Amino acid sequence: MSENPPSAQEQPFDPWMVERLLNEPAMARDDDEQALAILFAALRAPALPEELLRQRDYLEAFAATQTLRTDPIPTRRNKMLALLMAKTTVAAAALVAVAGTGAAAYTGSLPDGLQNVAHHVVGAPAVDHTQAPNSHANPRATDKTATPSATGTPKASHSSNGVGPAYGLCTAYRKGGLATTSTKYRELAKAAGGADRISAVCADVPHPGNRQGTAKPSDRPAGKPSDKPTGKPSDHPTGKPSDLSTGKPTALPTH
Amino acid sequence: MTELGDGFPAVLAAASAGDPQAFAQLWRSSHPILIRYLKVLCGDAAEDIASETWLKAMAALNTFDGNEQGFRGWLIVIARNHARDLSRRAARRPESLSPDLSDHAKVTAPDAADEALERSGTASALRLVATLPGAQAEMVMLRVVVGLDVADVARIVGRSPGAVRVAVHRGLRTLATQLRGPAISPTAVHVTQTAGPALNGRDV
Repeated sequence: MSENPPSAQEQPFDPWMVERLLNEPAMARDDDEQALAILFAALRAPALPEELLRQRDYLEAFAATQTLRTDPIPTRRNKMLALLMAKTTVAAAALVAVAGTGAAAYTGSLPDGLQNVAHHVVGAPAVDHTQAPNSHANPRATDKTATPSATGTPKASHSSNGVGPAYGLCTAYRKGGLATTSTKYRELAKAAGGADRISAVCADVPHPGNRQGTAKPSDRPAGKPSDKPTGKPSDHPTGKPSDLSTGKPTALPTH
Repeated sequence: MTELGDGFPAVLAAASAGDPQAFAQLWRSSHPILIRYLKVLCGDAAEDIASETWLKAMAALNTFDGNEQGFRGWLIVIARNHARDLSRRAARRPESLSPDLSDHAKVTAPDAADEALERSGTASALRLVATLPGAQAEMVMLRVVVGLDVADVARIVGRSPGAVRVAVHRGLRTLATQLRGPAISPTAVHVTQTAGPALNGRDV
């Protein structure tokens, strides 16, 4: 009585067969190995043109990735939008998006609710309850006799237009009044996407007075800064100097 | 398969720094391997999964540190995780008629590239490997096509090196038996060896 030949699974186990066939296919020991060597050659054949058809698509995607890598705030925003679905979050993201550089969130100028969301989502500063929460509760900011600074720059206010604080920080930066070790400097650098981008970002931050349609009367002084202040410079400003403003109030405006 | 060999570290460094030509070299040397692996595991979903894999790899390219084999293994791990996520997501959808990726692949119309690939021996060889049980097919692909050693394969699939050796051995013996079976003659095998369009005579 003859026995059946051993099945494939019962063949002697050769732990080095794969290496042998990959490195020296001509050294196949039997027909099975020869067939496998041919199979290996087909599996490892050089790239077929069809497999490389989409190279251009991948290169375009690579270029896009590089762009995002150098612009971290939109990257963070995209991730945020993809991951989070809550309406308030999307609203905060949209507001950050409108601000362009995210400066509004990072300078704490968003409405409190959204600022808190932005704080949790994108790492913007939390609402600072030690400051006046908004312009309506800040007598100085709503005072129509608010004092223009000596440089003619309206006083930076913690107002709702979202530009003032950023403008103030940028002005301070431009004038060398922002120490690189300060928290504000780090916030500005973070908002700009890096210290080396601060100048470029600040160049795009508009003067608060140039934002047509968004500024409220209370945001701007009623009078024009005159070349020659009529009042005497005050030795002691009446208001607490803001961290964000650059100049001391020196004279009352003339009406 | 094209290998970058000693040039790999420089190409990787340049690609990580954003050089598109370097990235093209990386892609051309690794994408065919990735797509072949995915075709065996996921069928026609391979292209989509490969796209997701490369997008993730592009974003994290500067975090990779290793040699060329390590890079391919890294891509495989990304692809494998993404394929597994897709599979789980499909399984959670009660309305889904095709919770399995391979089922999804069956109802997807082949595109021109697939049809062209079908005419090559490589496609037939891939389809033959795909007839193996899933774990065996994957381990054969990782050993033979991706070129990983047993230890790396074991790490990726979460099995012991011994289990990987046995599974690959069994898979290859099964393939050898099929190749030498009555449906394909030794002559046909020989022709495929010289002419390239391997295994076309066999309906797998």
